[in-house]
Amino acid sequence: MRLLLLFFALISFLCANAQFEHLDFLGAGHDNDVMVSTSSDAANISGQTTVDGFAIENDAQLKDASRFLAQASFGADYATIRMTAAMGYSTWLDEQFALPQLSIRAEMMRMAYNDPGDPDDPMEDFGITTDYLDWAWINNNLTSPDVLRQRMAFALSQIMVLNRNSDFFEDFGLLGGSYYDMLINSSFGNYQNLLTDVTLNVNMGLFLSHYNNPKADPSLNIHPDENYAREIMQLFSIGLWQLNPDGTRQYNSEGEFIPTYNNDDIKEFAQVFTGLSSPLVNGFLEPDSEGLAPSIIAEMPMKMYDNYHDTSEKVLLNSVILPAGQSGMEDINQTIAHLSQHQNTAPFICKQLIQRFTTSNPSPFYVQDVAAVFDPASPDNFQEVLRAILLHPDARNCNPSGAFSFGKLREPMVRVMNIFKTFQLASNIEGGFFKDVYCLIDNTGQLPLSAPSVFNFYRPDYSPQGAIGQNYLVGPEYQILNSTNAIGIINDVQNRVIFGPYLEADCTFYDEDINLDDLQYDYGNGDPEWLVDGQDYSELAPFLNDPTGMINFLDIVVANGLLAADTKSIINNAVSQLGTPQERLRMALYLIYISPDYAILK
Amino acid sequence: MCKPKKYNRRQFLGTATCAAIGSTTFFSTLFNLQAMNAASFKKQSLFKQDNDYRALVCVMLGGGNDSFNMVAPVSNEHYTEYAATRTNMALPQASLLNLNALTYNEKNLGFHPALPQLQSLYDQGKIAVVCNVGTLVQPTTKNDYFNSNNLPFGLFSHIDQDQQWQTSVPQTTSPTGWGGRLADLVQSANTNQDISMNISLSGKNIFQLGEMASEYSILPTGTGSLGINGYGGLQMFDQIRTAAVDSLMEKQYQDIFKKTYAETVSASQNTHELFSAAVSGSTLNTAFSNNELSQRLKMVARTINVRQQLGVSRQTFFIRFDGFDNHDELLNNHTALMQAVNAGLSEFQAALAEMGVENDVTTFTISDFARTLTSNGNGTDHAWGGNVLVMGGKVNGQDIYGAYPSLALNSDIEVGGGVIIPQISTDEYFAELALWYGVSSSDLALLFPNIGNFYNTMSTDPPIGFMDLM
Repeated sequence: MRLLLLFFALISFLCANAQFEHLDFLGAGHDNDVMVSTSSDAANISGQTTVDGFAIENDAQLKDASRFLAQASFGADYATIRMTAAMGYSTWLDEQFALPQLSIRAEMMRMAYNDPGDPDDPMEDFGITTDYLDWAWINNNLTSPDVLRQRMAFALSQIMVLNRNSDFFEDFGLLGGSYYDMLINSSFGNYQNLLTDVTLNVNMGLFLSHYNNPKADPSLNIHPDENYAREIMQLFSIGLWQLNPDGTRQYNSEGEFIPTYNNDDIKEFAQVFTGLSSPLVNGFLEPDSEGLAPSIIAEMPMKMYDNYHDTSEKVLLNSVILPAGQSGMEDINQTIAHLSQHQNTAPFICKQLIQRFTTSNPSPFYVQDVAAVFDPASPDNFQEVLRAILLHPDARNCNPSGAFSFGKLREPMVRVMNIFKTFQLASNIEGGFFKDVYCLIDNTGQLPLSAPSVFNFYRPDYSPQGAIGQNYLVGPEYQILNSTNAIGIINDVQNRVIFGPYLEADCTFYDEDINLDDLQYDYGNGDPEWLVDGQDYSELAPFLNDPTGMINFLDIVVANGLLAADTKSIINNAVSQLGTPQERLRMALYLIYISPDYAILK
Repeated sequence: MCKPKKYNRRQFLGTATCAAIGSTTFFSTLFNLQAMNAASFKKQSLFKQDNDYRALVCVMLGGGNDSFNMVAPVSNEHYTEYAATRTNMALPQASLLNLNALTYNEKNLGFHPALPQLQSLYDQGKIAVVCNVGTLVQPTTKNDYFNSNNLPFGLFSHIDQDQQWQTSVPQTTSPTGWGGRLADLVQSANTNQDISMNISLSGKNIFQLGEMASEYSILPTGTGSLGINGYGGLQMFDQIRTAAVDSLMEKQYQDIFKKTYAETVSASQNTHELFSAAVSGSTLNTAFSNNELSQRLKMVARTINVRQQLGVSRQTFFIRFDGFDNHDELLNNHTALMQAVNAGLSEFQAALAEMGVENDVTTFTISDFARTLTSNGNGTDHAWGGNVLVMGGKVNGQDIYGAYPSLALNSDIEVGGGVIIPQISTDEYFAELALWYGVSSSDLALLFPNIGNFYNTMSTDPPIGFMDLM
């Protein structure tokens, strides 16, 4: 298998060599734009010379730019694709890194009160349920130009997992909003600060129970809570097994994998995470609806109460010692630095980030190249990590459809957002609320901050039965592609592209009474308007009577140029039997969005 | 101590050819021999008639059930030991629901106070408790533990222990679960090969994944299964879409990711059509509570109700009921969870009685691990061996199996903080269920590669004794 991977990596490298004009993006300081242009395509560049002031692109460039944006964002419209193709990816990244960020929490407040709210008013969080988090998440994703930061925050939310659906969180949606804002705030920062923020975050403290975690009391057989000590190592930093710098596991002399820690280590680390509690109230107290104003404390890191902190000596990994008598925050900060700099952390975190952006099975070279730029304490280091992930030759392969092991099943939230983002949504109805999105967790298995446990929606090493597993490859997203979600997402696509993006009665399988067959399709009545139920498809006007042209256009914008010829002819055959432009458009969109060629982002 | 149940080996094993096939398939790849095994499976005496039916219902109490509070000591001496170790995590002695055992007489035990209906089923002989079960590669001593001698990997880690309880192969990351291997062995005994015999109310799970077999996921609502809206509809738009969807999903994809996606969609739609047609008319009089576990078990019951229409004689069901990882607020949260378990399991058993299949369905609990006996202030942490429940008409109920361990710290099987080394392996627990299901004892090693470390499959005694195997 390793040989096979080597082989494909070599092929992809040669291919990149032949196709890309510049190779200096391979290492650090790669500032030149990556331009995809094969010689044959270059000969076909059309007569148009400028678009929005940029040099015009050809079809191959547009398709690659569309694919790049599918990897780097939640989807893009035609104008963005053209602009990105013309400016080049490195410049696009520079622009993204410079964009300001939006607050989910503030958007939740705006939606609830139609004003930004007063963050010092402890009563304002009441009644803002977690539904507002979904609405604000979607609105911010639709309106904010910092699309890469949004995608990175979503990726981080699947590594530093918080579930906002516990009884406690449901009543206080802003807790989830402020946690997500912390991820957004860290998305272009560095790992060590992120891990510190996550560790001290009140919401995380409540979720993994190191909030109000006192030191041991031997007289009562009370030991420190081990929950956070375990998950910070297993999931947030180093993982279970000793790794090589390329993310592959190390073996001992007997050919066995080597654990990174044992239960005694857990007990040592558990002592570190003692003494944290409310930032507002002076002492160890449970937060509640009356006394502690959760949304306010959620904005602040937990406070260390040293009299509850275990001050004994702690032995960390590799015999690193935290001496007795240190303050609680000294212990925590040194432990976070210790984990951040562990040799596992770079490949462990980078491999998962690659999986979230570009491919489920990154080659060892790919992991090693990205891990090489990972520097946990360096300012803005995630920018370099993202650059390395998105510009790597494996990701920018000029023939993605032919790459055997490269690519991933698009995540459900990505598929849903693609629908919203590829064509402009008309002005939001009812104040921009997407009232139906909570159903997505049931229809598709994914919704922000709604993983069933700290183990995310799927495990990074999940290997589905069949051809993927038989080739010793993984496909994390297939873990939620069960027989209900596989169909649920198809019906979700139907509701959005056939009935319109805002259809409210979306939890179809929870209500037997709704039979969509009984609903009258609004195919339109020959009206040439391309405005269909809240989404603006007017860019397709030139293809009013040209199904082939429409499908080619949708291939670029929707399917990132990944539709095979026979897929196009299946769609063309269906579309050509329909009488009105609206019907043809809806059928084409529906079939593309559910097609295997689209569902897999190569 | 364990209460041994004698049974007649000849009755159980059936024909000699059956045993012979079993021995030749030892450690072989299961699916290559699927047909042969199914043939031998059908010949066994347990298949008395063609309409013979058996189902195993696996209820995963996800997150690590604090099962030393689910079943706690009642007698003074043992309660004192329990209370001393558990301190502020101990339940009041008077609140425990006494479990009078037919033969077990080492300790008086009681159910969690939120389990009155289960106490009643226990008294009716329909529930048994198996004590201190856990993941083990081989019998393990305290010395073995401190020398890391052949321990399960990833002890105390959710993801690993959750999986190992489903695979029963704790020394490695097994690609298959024992329910999946079971299906590889017997799925072809079902008349209808178009619906998996493994049905999940909780999506994908390793328990039901075999080399060939995989789960069919259904929902607790509607007819359980989900189909593509408009598929097969009469309007022209739907007719066109149906043909196009078929073409897209049935295309032969070279790309393994597309192929897996397309096959999943196709199989889901095809199964849906068969499944929903059968289940749509399935109604029960038994009332189920409106909570997650009850509603899922209701759909299991509705599915069992149409077993003949579905053409199945063997099924497994999987339900994950999460929320047990209570590092915090343990006592309150666990009470709410026990209430749900109490309602769900008792309602389900009532529905089985209504359908007259009490003897054909066995329900059993699993969980990642038990929790530390000691407190972390307001909750408990990850531990190891724990107690489980088995429910059904063929359960030798109203009894306790295995040894309820000493809860004293520093006992011979306690390794720190109130973590107890299991004295019964998941292999023994599941092997007994598999024998009841009709697997020949000579095939047990196909399902449980480590079973020989715990149980002589040539023995005339059952692995534990909690099932009536006659």
